[in-house]
Amino acid sequence: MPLNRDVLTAGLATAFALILLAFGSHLPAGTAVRMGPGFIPRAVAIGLLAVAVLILIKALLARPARADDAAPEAPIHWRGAASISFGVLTFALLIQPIGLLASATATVFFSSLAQQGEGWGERVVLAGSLAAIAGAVFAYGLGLPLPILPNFL
Amino acid sequence: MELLGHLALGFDVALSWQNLLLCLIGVLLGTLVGVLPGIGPATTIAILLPVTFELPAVGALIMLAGIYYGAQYGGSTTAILVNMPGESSGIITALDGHQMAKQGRAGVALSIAAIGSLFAGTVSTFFIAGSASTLSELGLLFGPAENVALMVLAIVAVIVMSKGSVLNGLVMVLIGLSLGLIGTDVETSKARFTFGIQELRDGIDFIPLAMGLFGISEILRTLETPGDGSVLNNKISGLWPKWADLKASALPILRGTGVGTVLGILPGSGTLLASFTAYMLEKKISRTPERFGKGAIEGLASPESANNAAAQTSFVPMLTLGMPSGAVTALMIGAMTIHGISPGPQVVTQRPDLFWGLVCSMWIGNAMLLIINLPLIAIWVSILRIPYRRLVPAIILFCCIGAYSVNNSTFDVLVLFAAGLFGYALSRLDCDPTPLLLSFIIGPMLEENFRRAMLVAHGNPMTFVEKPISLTLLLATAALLVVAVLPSVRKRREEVFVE
Repeated sequence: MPLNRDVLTAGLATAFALILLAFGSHLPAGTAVRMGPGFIPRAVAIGLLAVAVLILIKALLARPARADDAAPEAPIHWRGAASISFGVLTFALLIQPIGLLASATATVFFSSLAQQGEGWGERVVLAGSLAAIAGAVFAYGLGLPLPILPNFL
Repeated sequence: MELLGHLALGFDVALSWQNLLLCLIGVLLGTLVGVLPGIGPATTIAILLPVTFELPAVGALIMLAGIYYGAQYGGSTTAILVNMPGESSGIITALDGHQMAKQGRAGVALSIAAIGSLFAGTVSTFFIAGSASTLSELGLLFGPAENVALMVLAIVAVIVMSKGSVLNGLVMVLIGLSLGLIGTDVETSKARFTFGIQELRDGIDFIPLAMGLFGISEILRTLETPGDGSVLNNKISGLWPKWADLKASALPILRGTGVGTVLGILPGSGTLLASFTAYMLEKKISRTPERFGKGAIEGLASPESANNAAAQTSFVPMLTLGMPSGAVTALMIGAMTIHGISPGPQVVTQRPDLFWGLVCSMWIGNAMLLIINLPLIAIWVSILRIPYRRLVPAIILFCCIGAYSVNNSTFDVLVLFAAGLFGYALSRLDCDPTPLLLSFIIGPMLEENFRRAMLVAHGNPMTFVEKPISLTLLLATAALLVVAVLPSVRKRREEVFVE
């Protein structure tokens, strides 16, 4: 689906350009001699829009030739994306209130759900042991100032 | 003999027991992570960067260089043994290397790769030592206009050498520049695009960004390919090559080293161009080209040497001009900035201990690969036997802890999360994140130099073409861009990435 992909890329570029223009409108562009903080953002935004147009033109021109030979693509791995995102977010949310050991256990457990083929018991054991290793290596071994245990203990 | 004096200083620094130890740890850690299927050197460095925070600057860079060589060697190991290269140049290694492994000659392939790499590393270390002073003196002549031209060249070169179309590469560069704008404007102290978030006032940290774009998105990408677990089935025996093997690979190693040393200096070229050219050269001059792709030892020895020589000489523009030439050197520049060293031609004169220490430890790192790492092959192989589903959570956890410990801030973990998903989306769109990261890192420097150049030239943009050095660099950039979009070259470029 080369057409679709190009449209999405062009859309991404446009989105970034619009954000730059909308949230940078209050920044003065300055003059050519003394540029203000708004000059480069505007230039980048214009560049993004220009490339987006070029991508669309190219996609339209190439459409008939490329429709057939597009390689079949692996489907998006939603399960992986969801469980890994959940794992990372859990870490962000929990590290400060409940410390490394508990949050690492949760993160490993959730991100292990990215793939099938492991029993619940195995996942729990993996989570616990990786959390223990992480605590030993990072907090004690490397001496990083990480909270280890929940701060209410 | 100025050169010998420099090398003596370098070895003095590199051979201190701390730095030797850091180099060794770097090589081992780099191999450990690099050997994981689908994880290339840039990803490895991104994942392991936080380990080097607490170290002094010299030690940190030495360790990072060690990680780089280790990761590259680990990547070759995976390419040879299980045909799963972690980076683009590993694809060339896998062509004949994996065939050799299938024929039961995996041990020979691994040791020839290491021997070739050591030879290439030795030659290119001397090359760097010989050329660095001259290049950095040239770099000191650079004013803001020349710096801008050089950065533009670096960015365009990375676009041309990365996967996907040139237009997609441009989008990545512009998005990287946009992300680099976030934070406080250096000249006016005005907050830009911080959306009222306190943590964004200092800009996005490049470590969680790089970890997400390379680490997490690579994992998601690998998950797409079904089949996991025991990727490795065949046993490895006969590690040491026979005399005939050495004789057959001597000349290819020599040629590969030459090709790699020269091509590595070019900004943006990275290691892929070097391995590919070396492979093609061997195939062309071989009397039996039909053996290539079926386990020809020359087809492994030459590109592996080229790969390593280029990996090493790609540090030349970074060390002497402060210009990254790819994802790996961009990460190193980021690491230097964290340690308060502003990259540029002045590093050679102001921090000779750092510069020459790093150069010499590159060679030591290569030697360690052969002497220490190769005998440990059984351990690396056992990592390949760990089912992937157990490695994934470990890498994710490692990334989380790393991102958090940059500033002890939860915000960086959120950046990691966002960058991971964004990177995955980009890879689905056929956009290579390398130009994004590179322009994110040099974007602020580019803006500063651009504004200063315009100020000096009283707002006349012709300043960039009126200065001879700047004009030369811009002409080179234009030539590169034209060549890249020429139909015949474009076809070849696609072939390289498809192979």
